[in-house]
Amino acid sequence: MRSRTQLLLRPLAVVAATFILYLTPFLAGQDSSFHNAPASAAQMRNPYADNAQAAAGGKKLYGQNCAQCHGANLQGIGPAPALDNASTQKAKPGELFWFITNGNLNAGMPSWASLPKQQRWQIVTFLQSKLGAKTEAK
Amino acid sequence: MLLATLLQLYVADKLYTEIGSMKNAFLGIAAMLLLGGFVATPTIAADRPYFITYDSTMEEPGNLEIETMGLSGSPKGGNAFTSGLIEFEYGAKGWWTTEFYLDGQTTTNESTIFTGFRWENRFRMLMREHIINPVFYVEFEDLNGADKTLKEVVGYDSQYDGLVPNSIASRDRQRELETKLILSSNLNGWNIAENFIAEKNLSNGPWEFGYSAAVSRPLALLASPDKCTLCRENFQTGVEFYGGLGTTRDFLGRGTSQYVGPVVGWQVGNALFKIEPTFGLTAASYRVMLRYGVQYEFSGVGRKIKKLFQ
Repeated sequence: MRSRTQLLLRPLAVVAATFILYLTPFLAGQDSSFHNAPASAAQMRNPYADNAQAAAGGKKLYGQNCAQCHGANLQGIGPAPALDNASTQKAKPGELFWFITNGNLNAGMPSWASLPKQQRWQIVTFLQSKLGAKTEAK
Repeated sequence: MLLATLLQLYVADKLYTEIGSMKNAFLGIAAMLLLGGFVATPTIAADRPYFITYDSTMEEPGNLEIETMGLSGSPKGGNAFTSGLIEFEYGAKGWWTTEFYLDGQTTTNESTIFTGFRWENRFRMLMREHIINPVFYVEFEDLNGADKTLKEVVGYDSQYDGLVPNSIASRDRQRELETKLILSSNLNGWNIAENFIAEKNLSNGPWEFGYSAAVSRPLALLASPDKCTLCRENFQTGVEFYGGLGTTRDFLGRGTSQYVGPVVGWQVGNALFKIEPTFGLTAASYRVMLRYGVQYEFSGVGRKIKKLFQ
C-alpha cells in the first residue's frame, strides 16, 4: 500500500520532469549564445577581423572606455567579469559586438552605442586578438 | 573643477567693468583649461559635446562625473554677465543617472551671487538599444530670479529677464519641477537627440514648454592605433537648436526665444572641453552668447565609498 506522501509526490515529480524537459531546449539555446545575443547577431561579420591596426586602435579604446571596470589587463574588477577567458575568445564576433552595443543595464554593463560602430568593432577585434588574450591596455 | 568655476566668476567679477564680456569669456575658458588640465582623471570618450540637449548616454554605474559650464552674454540695453554652474553626475544604476548642480552668476556693475541648486534624475526607459531611445528626465530646481545659466529655455523666457538688477531679481525664489522626454538615436556615427520640456513653478504659474534638438558626429569614426591629441577622432562637431514653446495659457505664441549654436568638443587626454557660440533668432533672444565647459570623470567612486563602510 502506497503512503500518502508517495501519492502526493508522484504527480509533483511528473510535473517537474515535464517542466524540465520542456525548458531544456530553451536553456541549451541560451547557453549557446554569448549573453543571450540573438541569432542574427552571431551572423554579423567583423569587418576588421585579423586587422592588426584595428586591434591596436581597439586596445586604445579599451583602455579609455573599458579598463576602468574590466581591468587594464582584462582581469576583471569587482562585479565586472574578466575578459581574457575562453568565453570571450570563443564568442562569435557579432555576439560580442551586440553585447557591447546593448550592454546589460540591470547588471551594470552600460550600452556603448554612443561609440561609432567602427570603434565597437575595433574593441571586438582587440578582445579576440592575440593582443587581447593576455595584455595590459593603457 | 570647483576652483575653476569660482576662479572664473571671480575673474569675471573683477574685470567686467574694465574689459568687454568676450574677453571675460576667454579668461573663463583659460581658467577652466588650466585647472581642468591639472585635475584630469580617466574619463569616457563617448560623451556628447552638447550644453543644453541630452542624449540617451547614461553615466556608468558607480562613476562620478564633474562638469563646469560657463555662459557669457549681454541683454540689449543691460549689463553683461557671466554665469557658471558646477555639476556632479553619478551613475546610480545602468538605467538611472542622478545629478546635482550649483548655479551662480556675476553681472557687470552689479554683483556676484549664488543663485541656487538643481537636482535631476534621468531614467532610461528601454533596456536595449533601439533606433530611438527614450529617457525620462525629472528635475527639482530651487533657484532665484537672478539665475542666468539658461540651462533650458522654456515658455516666454527672454533677454529682457536679464535687465532686472540682481538685487531685485534675487528676491524672487522659484521652486520648479521640470520634466523632459529625451529621444536619442545613434546612426552611422551620428547622434541625433530631441528633448521636449515641460516646466512648472510649484507655487504659481502655468506649465511652460520648450524644446532642444542636436546633432553631432566625431570627425573620424575609426580610432587610430596610437595615442594622439590632435587626431580627428578626438574632435566632435555638431549643432544645437533650442527655444521656448509658450505656456498652457498661450502655446506657440509670439515672443519666444529661439537659439542655434554650432558646438565643438575636444577630447584632450582625459578631459572633454567644449565650446558653443550661440545666436538668437528672435527679438526676445539674446543676440549672441558664448557657452564653454569642461568635464571629467572619476571611475569607481561608488565602489570606493562602499569599501569605506565595510
